[in-house]
Amino acid sequence: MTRFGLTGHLGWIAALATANLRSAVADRGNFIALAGFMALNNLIWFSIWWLFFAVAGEIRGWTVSDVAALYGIVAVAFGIHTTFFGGARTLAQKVRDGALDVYLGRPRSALVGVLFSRSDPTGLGDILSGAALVLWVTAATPEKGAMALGFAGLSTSVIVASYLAINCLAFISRGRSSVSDQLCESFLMLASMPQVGLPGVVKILTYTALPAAFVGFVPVEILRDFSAAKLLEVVAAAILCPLAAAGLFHLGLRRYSSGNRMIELR
Amino acid sequence: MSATIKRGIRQSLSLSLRVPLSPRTGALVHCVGLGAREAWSEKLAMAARFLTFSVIIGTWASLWHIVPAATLTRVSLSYEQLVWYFTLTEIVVFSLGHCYRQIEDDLASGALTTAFVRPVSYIALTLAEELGRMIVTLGSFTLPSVALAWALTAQLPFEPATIVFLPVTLVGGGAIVLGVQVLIGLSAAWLGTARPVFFITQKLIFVLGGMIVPLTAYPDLLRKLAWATPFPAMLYAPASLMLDPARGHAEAMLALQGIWLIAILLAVVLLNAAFERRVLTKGLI
Repeated sequence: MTRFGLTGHLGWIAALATANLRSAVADRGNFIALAGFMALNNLIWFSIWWLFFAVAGEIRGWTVSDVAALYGIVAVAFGIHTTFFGGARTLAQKVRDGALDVYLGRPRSALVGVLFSRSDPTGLGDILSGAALVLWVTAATPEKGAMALGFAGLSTSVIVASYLAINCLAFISRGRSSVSDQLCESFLMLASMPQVGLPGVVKILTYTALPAAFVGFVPVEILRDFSAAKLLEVVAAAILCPLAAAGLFHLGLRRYSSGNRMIELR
Repeated sequence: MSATIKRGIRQSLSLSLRVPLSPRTGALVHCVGLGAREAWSEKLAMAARFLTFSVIIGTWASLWHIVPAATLTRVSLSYEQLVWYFTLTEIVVFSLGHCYRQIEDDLASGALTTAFVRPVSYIALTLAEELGRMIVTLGSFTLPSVALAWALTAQLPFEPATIVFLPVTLVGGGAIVLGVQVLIGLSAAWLGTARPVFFITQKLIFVLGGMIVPLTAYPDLLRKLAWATPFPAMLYAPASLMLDPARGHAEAMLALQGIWLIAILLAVVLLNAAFERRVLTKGLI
C-alpha cells in the first residue's frame, strides 16, 4: 500500500474493473444474447417461488414479494461478483495449477489481481434481472428499492469473501476444484432461499461459517421491518467477511507451491 | 463385505464381460465403465455434491414444514409426501453432470477432429461415458438420500407393488435429461455456445418438470403446458410414485418415459447427423 499510495491502488482497481467490463462487452452481440438469456433464466427460476407460494400462501409472514426482493438482491450481488470479481471462484484452480505465480510476481496486491482476473458477461444479465425484480416489488416505496440495491452492494462483499474463503481450501486439500465449485453452489443456493424455519445449528452456520444469511435474508428482514441492529449486522458482515477471507488467503499462500508460470496472456 | 463375497462378485463380473461383444458394443461398454470409474474416483467431489443436495432438501423441507397441514390437504398433499417427492426429483437432477459442456469444449478445442476418425460415433461414446457416471452417482446418492428423507419425515412410504419401478423410472428420467443435454451440446455447432440454451432448458426442466411443487398442484394452464413437453417424464414421473403408489400409475409413468426416451434418442441421431455434416463442411466453431 505504501509503495503506491491509496490513490494509486484505487486507480489500479478502477483500471482493472474497467478492463473487465470492456472484456465482458467486447463481443457485443454475444454479450447481449448471454445477458438476455441469463435474465430470462432468472425469471423462469423465480416462477418456482410463485408456484410454491400459490400452494403455501405465506410462510411466517414471508410472501412471494419478499422472496422476489431477496432473489433480486442476491442476483444483483452475484452479477457484480461475476462481472468484476470472477477470479474469486477460480482461485482453487489457480492454486492447483500453480498459476498464482503470475500475480505473486507483480508489485501490486496478489489478492486484488486474482479477484479481478476474470469477468463473465452473463453477470450483467443477473444485475439487470435482479434490479428489475427489486424495483418491481418496491415500486410503491422507491426508498426501499434504493435501500435494497444498496444492500446488494454489501451482499457482493459477503459473496466474494465467501467464495474466496471456500476456494482457499485448495491450499490445504488436494481435492479437485469441482469440490470448491460445489461448496460455492451450496452457499449460493442457501443465500437465495428464505432461511425460515431452519434447524438451530444450520441457522447458526448461516450467520457464522457460511454467512449466507447476510446476503439476502437479513437485508429483506430489514426492508420488511427496519432494525438498526440488523443493519449494523449486515454492514459488519460486509467488512469482516472480506478481512477474514483475505487473512485465509495470506495464510494459504504459505503452503502454495509455485508452478513456474510467470506470464499470463489475456 | 467379506473377501469371499467380493471375489464372487469379481468372478461373476468377469464372466459376464467374457460374453463376446461386437467391437462397437465393446467400445460403448468400455466407455460406460470408464465414466463409472471416473465418477467413483472423485469421492470428495461426490461428497461435496451430496452436501449441496442436502442443503437444498433441508431448506425446502423446513419451508414445507411450516405450511399448515390443512393448506396442503387442499391440494391433496402432505409434508411427508412432498419431502419424498422432491428428494426423488433432486436425485435425478444431481445424478447428471454437464456433458453438453464437454461437447462444446471438444468442438471449440478441436478435439473432435480426432474423434471423427474413430469407428464409433463421438456422440455415442460421450453418451456412454456420461451414462456410466450417472449410474454411479445415482447409485451412491440413493441410500444417503433415502436416509435423509427418512430423517426428515420418519416415514418410508414405499409400496411393495411399485418399489421395483422406482430405480427404473429414476434411471429413465436421468437418461432423458442426458439425451436433452446432448442435443444442447450439439447446438453449439450452430450457436457458437451452448451455455445459454442449457441454462434456459435446465430451468424449464425444474419448472415444467415439477421439481419442488408436484404438477398436480399447478394451475390448469401451466399443468397442460407441462404435459405437452418431455419435462414431466424427467422429474415428475419417478417422483410421483411417492404421491400415487398404484401400479397402474407407475406403469403409465414408465410408458411416458419410454415414449419420450425414444423421441429424444431419435432427435439425437438426426441432430448428430446434421452436426457431423456441418462440422465436416464448415469446420469447427
